[in-house]
Amino acid sequence: MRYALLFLVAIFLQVVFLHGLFKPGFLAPDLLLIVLLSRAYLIGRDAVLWAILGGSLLDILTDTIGLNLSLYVLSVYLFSLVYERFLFKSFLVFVLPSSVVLLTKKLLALLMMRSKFSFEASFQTFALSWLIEVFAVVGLYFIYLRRKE
Amino acid sequence: MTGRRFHILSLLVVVFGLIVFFSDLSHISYVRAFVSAINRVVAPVVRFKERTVSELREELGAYIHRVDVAKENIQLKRRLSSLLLTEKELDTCLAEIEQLEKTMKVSSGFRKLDYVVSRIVYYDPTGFDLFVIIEGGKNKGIKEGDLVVTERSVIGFVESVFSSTSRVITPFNEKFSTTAVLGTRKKRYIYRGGFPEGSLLHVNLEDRVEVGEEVYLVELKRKIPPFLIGKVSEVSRGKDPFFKEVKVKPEAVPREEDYVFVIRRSR
Repeated sequence: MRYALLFLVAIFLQVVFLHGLFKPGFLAPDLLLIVLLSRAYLIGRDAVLWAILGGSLLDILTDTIGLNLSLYVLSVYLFSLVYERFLFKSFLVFVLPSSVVLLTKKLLALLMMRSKFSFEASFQTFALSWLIEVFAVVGLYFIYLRRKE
Repeated sequence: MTGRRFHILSLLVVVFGLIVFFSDLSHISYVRAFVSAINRVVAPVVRFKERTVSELREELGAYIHRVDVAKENIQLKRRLSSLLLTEKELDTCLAEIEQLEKTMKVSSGFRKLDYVVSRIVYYDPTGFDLFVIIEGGKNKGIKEGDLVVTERSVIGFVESVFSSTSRVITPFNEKFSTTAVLGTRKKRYIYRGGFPEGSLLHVNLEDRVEVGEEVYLVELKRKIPPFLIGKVSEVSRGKDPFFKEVKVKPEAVPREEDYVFVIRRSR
């Protein structure tokens, strides 16, 4: 229940605040995906179901139906595959795959949007957004996840 | 979730998402209706956010403006206090000058100048520029003998005053005569007008006069500052055995002037 509430808050923050702050919106730091990755780190493969739900909700709210659904599920899926290779939990086991997955997701989103629409996206925005995500992932690990190991 | 279900579900959802995204299924009317219904629910939150952001921006702008105004106020206050100090220093200097003048019995009296600004309305039609007519006469308190000048040079003296105009004779006019000095020297001479050159009278043979020297109008009472009449154009031994013949080319060109100052002589 607590996680569901946090999940909804993350979706609204993503849609209302981050997508408005960053132009184009899909380049915004993906708070929701970070929350999903932390869920995958804690409960394992079942987080894919949350990713399906989160991706669908975000797609409906941002009018990009299908984009977030496929990318969220793919991200959580890839994270789970990498993370399951390790038999222990640690800082690097969470942060490294998360950062790579977030970068991949952002890159794929950019490529998918470019293949359908024409727009300008600066490299600085892309890099800044990903760096914020990495800081958020590191912060989340030290604030919350470390206690769960 | 078992291994096979996990892989199949994930891959199916990814492929499904991609198909939906690229096939524009989201534009089907039923899907759009559903999306707009959801968006309608979220709309108040988005509107609230927009309002909050715009209000915050306005408040921030107002705050920054106030800070700037406060800084400017501080700078202006400093400048004002510095100017007040300078004003006091200036007052002290003026008081000292007045005291010195009294002690040395010298008075410039320049700052007590009483003048009016006037406009030239008519020029000498003969082309000799012997006189000009200026705006303002009895109605402005102009009187015969008042000096007419530009910022630097002499235009002439008021010869006759009418109700709303005055006739001014220029240094080219033979009727024009006044006390004059050469440069900064103290010895006074008489300048008499003439066309195209006026002359400096009673210049002793031993007085050193050079071509190009400036000739200034001075007043005996020294109530008005010296104004340039013209420059010495020719120096020669005249017919008079005691005096030199000094020609002066008037500096002012009345035809080129629009506005003049009429200095009222103290009476």
